Amino acid sequence: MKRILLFIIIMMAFALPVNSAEYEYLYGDETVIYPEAEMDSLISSLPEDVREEIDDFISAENDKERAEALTDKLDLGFWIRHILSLITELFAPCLEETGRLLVIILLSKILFGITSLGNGELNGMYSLSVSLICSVAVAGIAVDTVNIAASYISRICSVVTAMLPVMEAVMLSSGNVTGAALNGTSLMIYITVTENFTVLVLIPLAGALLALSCSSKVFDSVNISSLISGLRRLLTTILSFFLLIFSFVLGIQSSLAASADSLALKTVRFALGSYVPIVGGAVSEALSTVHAGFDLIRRTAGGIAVVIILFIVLPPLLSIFFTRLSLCFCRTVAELLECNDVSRIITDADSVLSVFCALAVMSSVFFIFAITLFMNSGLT
Amino acid sequence: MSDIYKLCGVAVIALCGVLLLREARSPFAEVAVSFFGVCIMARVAVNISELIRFLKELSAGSTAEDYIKLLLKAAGIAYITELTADICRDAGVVSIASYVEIFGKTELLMLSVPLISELCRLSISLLKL
Repeated sequence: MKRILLFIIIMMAFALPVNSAEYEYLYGDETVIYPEAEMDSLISSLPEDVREEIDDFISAENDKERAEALTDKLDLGFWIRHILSLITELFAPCLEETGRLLVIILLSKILFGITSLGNGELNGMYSLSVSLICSVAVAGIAVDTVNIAASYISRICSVVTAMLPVMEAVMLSSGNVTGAALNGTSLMIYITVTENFTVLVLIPLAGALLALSCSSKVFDSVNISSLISGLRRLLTTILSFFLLIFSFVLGIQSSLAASADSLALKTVRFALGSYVPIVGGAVSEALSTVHAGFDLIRRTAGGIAVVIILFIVLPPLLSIFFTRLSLCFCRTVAELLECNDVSRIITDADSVLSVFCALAVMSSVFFIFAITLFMNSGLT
Repeated sequence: MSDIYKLCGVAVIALCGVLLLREARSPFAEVAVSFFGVCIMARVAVNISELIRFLKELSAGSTAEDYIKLLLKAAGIAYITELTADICRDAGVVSIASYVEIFGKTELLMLSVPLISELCRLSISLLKL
């Protein structure tokens, strides 16, 4: 009797319907994992001109539109056209500066040639006045460019600080917990060091060196130019070493963190597949599909971050480049006309600007490197 | 081109006149030297004023206008100081020549003061950034 009853129960169990559920991710659906609040905070911290450039990305309603907007921005032709338009915009002020400096150099040389004074002391006073006039012109150009570089460094640091919550949110959502913690920490340290170094060391040093260079005509025996070029080499070496160390640390940290988080994810998948009956395998596969979604978000967020950095970095870099080009041209003309005082001041100003150029390029490269690591920090 | 011939001719005539007056031990020799020197420089000043007017017109409205004015002012101060000091020396009054030169140097220094303050302002603006 018991056996018959057991047989009936088993047969009824076989008669019950069993359905397997399959998670299907439909491409184009809006993912609820998109870090909306963090992205809004980042976008509000961007300068107005950058926001206009990425307006199509901001106004996109789903991942597909965002990816399309990003693809347009990553096209090489787009960047070539953008750079050409920037060159057209920035070249005219550079030409004006070059023309002004050239006129001053030529006129000072002509007048110096006409007024060949017999009295040595009067000659010295006159050459000092002419030298000061040229110094003020050069110092004005140099200070404007230093202000551009300083404001760029401040702006890029604040934008990357606003990017950190986005990156951390995406990394945490995708299970990359260790990577989120380490990535944010390293970047914050770099941003803090860069900002403090620029504000507390580099800019005051630039002001002091420019002032010394312009007044070195008074102290002929003191060779300020060699001091400035030596300091420039030292600062460039320190910045290069600094970049190398941070890039190395960030790269190693990202690699190790990704490995650790991948191990954790694989452990979870294995546990799900092995210990959850019937649907464990499906849930494990669903986890992979969800990660594919996170991968898209991460690469989209990383891609737009790189685009934002490029939009911010190009105008000041081109401006610094054109200023240095105009100073180089004016220095050549001054050397041809044997205006040694003027050519020395221009050389010193160019040395100061080269350090700022190096710092701006270094910061941009490091941030793009960090974002690239973030984009490739997907778990396997 | 004819102006340079005229000027050179006047200078040679002035030289001959001054030599004759010195030979005659006339007290007007130094006066003649100063007089002819001023006349020649007045003619030079006419040419220079045309050059200055041209430069001012060229630089009008440009960003280099202020710098060009300062350069011309410095050159003018140096030139006039040198000329006046030379006239005084030719007249044998070296002390007055020294005073004129000191005044010229002071004027050039006063011209440099706004430039020095502008340089200080630029440097301080960087230090305060």
